[in-house]
Amino acid sequence: MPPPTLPPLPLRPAAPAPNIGSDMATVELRGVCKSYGAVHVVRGVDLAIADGEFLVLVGPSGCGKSTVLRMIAGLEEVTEGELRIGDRDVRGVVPRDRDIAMVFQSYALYPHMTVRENLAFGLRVRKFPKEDIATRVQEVAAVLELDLLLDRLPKELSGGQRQRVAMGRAMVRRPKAFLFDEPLSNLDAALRSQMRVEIKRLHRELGATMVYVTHDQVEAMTLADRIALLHQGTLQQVGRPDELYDRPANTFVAGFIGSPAMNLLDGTLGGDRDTPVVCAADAVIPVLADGLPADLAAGARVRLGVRPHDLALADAGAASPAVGFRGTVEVVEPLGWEVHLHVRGEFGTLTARLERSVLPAPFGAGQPVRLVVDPSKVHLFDGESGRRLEAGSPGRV
Amino acid sequence: MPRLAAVVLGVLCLAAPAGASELVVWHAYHGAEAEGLGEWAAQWRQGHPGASVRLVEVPSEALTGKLASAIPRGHGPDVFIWAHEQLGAWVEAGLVAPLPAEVEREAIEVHLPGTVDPLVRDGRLYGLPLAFKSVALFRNTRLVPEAPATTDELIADAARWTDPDAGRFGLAYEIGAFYYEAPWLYGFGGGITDREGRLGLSGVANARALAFAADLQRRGLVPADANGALVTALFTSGRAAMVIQGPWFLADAAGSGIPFAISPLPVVSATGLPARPFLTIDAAFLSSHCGRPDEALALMRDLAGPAGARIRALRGRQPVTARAAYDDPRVAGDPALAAFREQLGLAVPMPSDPAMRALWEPAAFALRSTLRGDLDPATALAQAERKFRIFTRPPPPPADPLPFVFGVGGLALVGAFLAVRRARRVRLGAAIWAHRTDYLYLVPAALGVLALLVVPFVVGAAVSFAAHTGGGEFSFVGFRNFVSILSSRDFGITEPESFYYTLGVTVLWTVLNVGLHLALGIALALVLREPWVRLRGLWRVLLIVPWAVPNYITALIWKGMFHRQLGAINAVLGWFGIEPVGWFDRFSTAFAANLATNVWLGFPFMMVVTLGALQTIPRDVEEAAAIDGAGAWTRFWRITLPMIKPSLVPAVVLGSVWTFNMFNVIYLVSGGDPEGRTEILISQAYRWAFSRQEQYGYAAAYAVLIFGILLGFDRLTRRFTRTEAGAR
Ligand SMILES: Nc1ncnc2c1ncn2[C@@H]1O[C@H](COP(=O)(O)OP(=O)(O)OP(=O)(O)O)[C@@H](O)[C@H]1O
Ligand SMILES: [Mg+2]
Repeated sequence: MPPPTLPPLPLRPAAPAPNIGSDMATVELRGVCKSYGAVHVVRGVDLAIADGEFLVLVGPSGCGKSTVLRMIAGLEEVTEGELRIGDRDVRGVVPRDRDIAMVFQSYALYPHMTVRENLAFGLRVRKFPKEDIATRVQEVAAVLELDLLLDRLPKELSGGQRQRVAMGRAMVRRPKAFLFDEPLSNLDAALRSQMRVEIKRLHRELGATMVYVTHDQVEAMTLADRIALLHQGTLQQVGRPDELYDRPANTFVAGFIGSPAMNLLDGTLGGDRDTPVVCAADAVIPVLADGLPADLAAGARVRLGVRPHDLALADAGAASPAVGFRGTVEVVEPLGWEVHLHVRGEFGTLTARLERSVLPAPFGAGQPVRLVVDPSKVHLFDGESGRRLEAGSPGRV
Repeated sequence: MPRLAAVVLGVLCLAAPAGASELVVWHAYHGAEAEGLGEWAAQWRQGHPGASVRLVEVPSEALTGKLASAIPRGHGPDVFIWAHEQLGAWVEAGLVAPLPAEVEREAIEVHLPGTVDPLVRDGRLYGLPLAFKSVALFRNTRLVPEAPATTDELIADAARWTDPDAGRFGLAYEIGAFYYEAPWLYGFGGGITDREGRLGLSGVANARALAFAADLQRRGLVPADANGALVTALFTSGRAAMVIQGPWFLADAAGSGIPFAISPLPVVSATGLPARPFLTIDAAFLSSHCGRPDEALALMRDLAGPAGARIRALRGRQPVTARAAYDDPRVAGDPALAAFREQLGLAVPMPSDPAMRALWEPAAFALRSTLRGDLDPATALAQAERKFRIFTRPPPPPADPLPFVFGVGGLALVGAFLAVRRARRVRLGAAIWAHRTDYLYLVPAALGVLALLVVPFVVGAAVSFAAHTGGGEFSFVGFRNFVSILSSRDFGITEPESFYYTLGVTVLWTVLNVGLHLALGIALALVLREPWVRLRGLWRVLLIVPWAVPNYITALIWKGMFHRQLGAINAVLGWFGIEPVGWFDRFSTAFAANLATNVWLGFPFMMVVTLGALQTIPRDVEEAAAIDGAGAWTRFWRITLPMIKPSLVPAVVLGSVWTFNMFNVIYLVSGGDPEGRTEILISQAYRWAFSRQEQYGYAAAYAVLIFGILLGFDRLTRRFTRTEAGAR
C-alpha cells in the first residue's frame, strides 16, 4: 500500500474550486436528539451547514451547544435523528473517520509531547511520510508563529501560545470541517479579540467549514456567517447576525442578542386599525400599522420590545405628552461616550442607552424623564408564545 | 476462635512474670489431649495446696521457637511438653536439664519398654515420657474384616476395593511425606541410619522401599498427592478401605460412624520383615532455667506416672507410656490403645540428632521424584544423600576478623568523614537547632525506624559474616558465606539450590508477575472507566477483595484449588474431559500455579493505582487523540499510558520488590515443589535458616544479597526515570 499523500494546504486564498461530491464539507443535522437516560439535552435540532460556512452556535450555559458539537465530532452518539457530513451518514462512524478537527476549550494538548509532536501526532498516526509531516508542521508553525516553540512542552507555554498550538493541531491535517468549543474563553480580553481576528482570517484563507461554539455574543456576531441560537436543547433561530439582531424570532432571541439586552414589557394592543398603539400600564407607544398581522385584534396581549439605544429622551414641552414611558431615573451608568439609564415607572423598568451630550446639564438619580421610541423600532411579540408578530405572521397560533 | 483466644492468652501469659509459687507448663495440646492435661492439673492442685501449676497452650508451630528464645533469657516455662525429636538440638543449645539418675531408674520401671530410650542423650535422661505416637493401619471392617498380615495381603485387600474412576482406593496415606515412607524403608531392611548411627539415605533396601511405594501409586491403589485432609475425607466417607494414620486420627474415625479396627502395619512380603513406623515420644522436659527443679520434677513425675497417665488415657485417649495405666480395665479394654501399644513394639524411635532436621527436605524430594517417575529410586536417593551431606557440612572455619575489622573500621571512618563534611557544608547543626521543635517531633519516628529497621538490618548483615555453629553460638567467617553462595561451590548452576538458578527463577517470577499485574490492572481500570459499565462501585469493591484478604489465606485457598484430587481447578478441567493435572509435579505447572495465585493477589493494587492515575488525566486529551485519528490501541500506547506512567513507575518498583520477596505464595502454594525448583531467593534463604541445619549465617548472606539486588534495581529505575524526565 503506497503511503497516503497529503492534500495541499492552501494558506493563501485559493482559487475558488467547485465543490463536488464527497469533497463537500457540508454538515447536516435532521431532527437530532440527545438524551442521557431521562435527561433530554438536545431536542430535535435541524441544521444545515453549507460548505465553507462559518456557523456559530450560541446559547446560554448548559443549553446543549457542546453536546451538538460533540455529536458532530463523533464523541457522543446521536440518540435520535440523522447526522450527515458531506454526503455521508456518519452515525456510527468513529471520530477518526469523519475527517474533522476539533479545538477544545481546555486545548487538550498532549502534555507529554513537545509542540512539534503535538502538531505532528494526527499525521503520524495516519502514517504520512516523515518528510511531508516535517514540512507541514513547519508551514503551520510559521503561520501561527510557533516556530520558536516547537521543542517545548505544553506546560512551558502561555495560555495564548497553547491556544495557537491547539489551532495548529487542527490545521495540519486540513480536515473537511473545524469544530471549535469555546476556544477563546480562557484568554484575556485583549488576546481574545486578537485571536478572533486570527480565526476570521484563517477561515478566509482555508475556506473550510467551521462550527464554532460560544456563549459570547460578541464572538458570535463578529465571526459568524450565520448564527444558530440554542436554548434548552432547541434551536430558537438560525440566520445571519443582522437578522437575529434586527428581527429576533422570539423574546428569547430578542433578549439574548444585543447588549445591553432588549427591554421587554407586557402590554395590550390599543388604538384603531390605522394608528395602533401598545399600552403598557400608563405608557402608550405608537406602533406601525403595517407591521402588524392582519388578524390581530385590539385588546390582544403582546410583549413589547425596545432596544436600549432606540429610546430617546422626549423634550419636556414636546407634542403629545401622553406618548412614551414616564418614569424616574434610578441609576445612571456613565460609560464615556454613552450613558446607560435605568428608569422605573408604572410599566416596570427600562434600560436606555443615550449619548451623553443629549442629557440636560444637572442630571442624576431621581430625575423624572419621558422616553420615546420611533414606531418603526418597536418589536412586538405574542404575549403568550413570545413569537415575533409582524405582517404576514398569524396573530394567534 | 477459642484457638485465637488461646494464642492471645498465651502471649499475655508469656509476657507476665511468672508468679513465685507457680510452676508454668507449656504444651501444644488441644482437643481431648488438652482436656486430659487440664483434668490432671486440677487434680494435682488439690493434692498440692501450697503450690500451683499453670498450663499455657502455645501454638505448635511456635512452641520450639519460643523455647529457644525464652529459656536462655530466663522467661520460659519450668516444664514443657513436646515430642522427643528436638532433644538433640535442645541439649546442644542448653535448653533442657538432665534428670537425676534415680529418676531414670524409676522411669525405666514405670514406663513401657522402648519409650524411655529415645529421651536419653549422651547417656543421660532428659525427660519423662507421657505418650507414644506412631502410625498404624486403620481399616474399615466392613470392607476389610481381617487385618492383612503381609503386604501381599494388603495389596490384595486394597485391590479389591480400588476403583479410581469411582474415587475409591484400597489404601490411603500421605504417600509423598517421608514420615509415612519410613515404615517401608525399615520393612525392606533399610532405614535412615547406618551401623554407627550416622544419618543417611542411600542403599539398595531404601531404593526397593521407594519403588514399592511408587508401585502402590502407579497401580492406583493409593491416591497420589494425598494430604491429611484427603486421607481423612476418603476414610470417613467410606471411599478408602484402609488408611495409615496415627492416634490423632481416632477422633475423626470414631466420629464418622464407619466401623473400624486398628492393627500394626503388615510384614513386607519380599523380606519377611515388619514395616516399622517412626516412633515419637511426647515427654515432659525440665527447663534448664527452672528456678525450683525439685518441685518441677515432682510435678513431672506425677504427670508421667500412673496417676497422670490414667487421666490422660481416659480423658485424652492418649496412648500413654506408664504401664500401670493399662491395669485399669477401661484403659486395657480400649482396642485402639491396645493396637498402638502393639505397634509400639515394632516402631523405630525417630532419631533426635539435630542433623535429622536437614534430612526431611532431600528425603521428601527423593520420594516424590520417584513417585512421579522422574528418577529411579537409587539415583533419587543418591542425590538426596549428597544434598543432605552438603546441608550438614561443618561450618566454614573461623576467619581472622582483624583485616575485616580494619576494613569495616576504615570504611566507617571514611563514611563518617564524608558525612561530617557534608553536614558542615549544609550547616546541618544550625539547621537542626533552628528547627529544633520540628525535629523533636521526628524523634519518636526516628527511634522506631532505628529499633525496627536499622538495628535488625545491621544485626542481619553482621550475621551474614558468621556461621551458626549450633546452640546459638556463632563464629566469624568473613566473606566465606558470600563466596560459597556466589561461586555456587556445592551445587551445579542448574541445580535448584544454586544461587544462580534461584536468582533466574526469582527474576522470571518477578517479571512475569509484575507484567501480568500491570496488564490486568490497567485493562480492568480502563474497562471500569467506560461509560457503559453499570454498578461500577460494586465491581470496584469486588475487584479489590483479593487484595484485602490476607495473602496467606489466599495462598492456602489456591493451594487447595490446585490439589490433584480435591482441587477445584482439576474438577473444572474434569468437566471438559481433561485428566487431573498434578500441578506440583512439574516446574512449569507448579510455577504457573504460584503465578496464578500471585497474579490474583497483585492485580488489584495496580488496578487501584491505575484508576487513580486515570482520574488525573483529562478525558478531552484522549478525545482529541481520537479525533486526530488514533484508534483505541494507539490512543492507549501513545496517550493514556505515557500520561499515567509517572504514577505507575513507583507502583511497579514497589510491586517488583514485593513480588521479589513474595515468600508466602511460594512457601504455601508450591512449597518449592518439584524438588525446590520453584523456590525464590527469599524462600531459599528461609530453607537454609530453618530446614537445613540452622545455617543462619548462610541465610543472612542470602538476605544481604537480596537487599543488594533490590537496591540496585531501585537505583536503576530511578536513573531510568530521571534520564527520561531530563530528556524532556
Ligand atoms: N453525561 C451527562 N449526563 C447527563 N447530563 C449531561 C451529561 N453531559 C451533559 N449533560 C447535560 O447536558 C446539558 C448540555 O450540556 P452541554 O455541555 O452541551 O452544555 P453547553 O451548552 O456546552 O454549556 P456551556 O456553555 O456551559 O459549556 C447540560 O444541562 C448538562 O448538565
Ligand atoms: Mg460547553
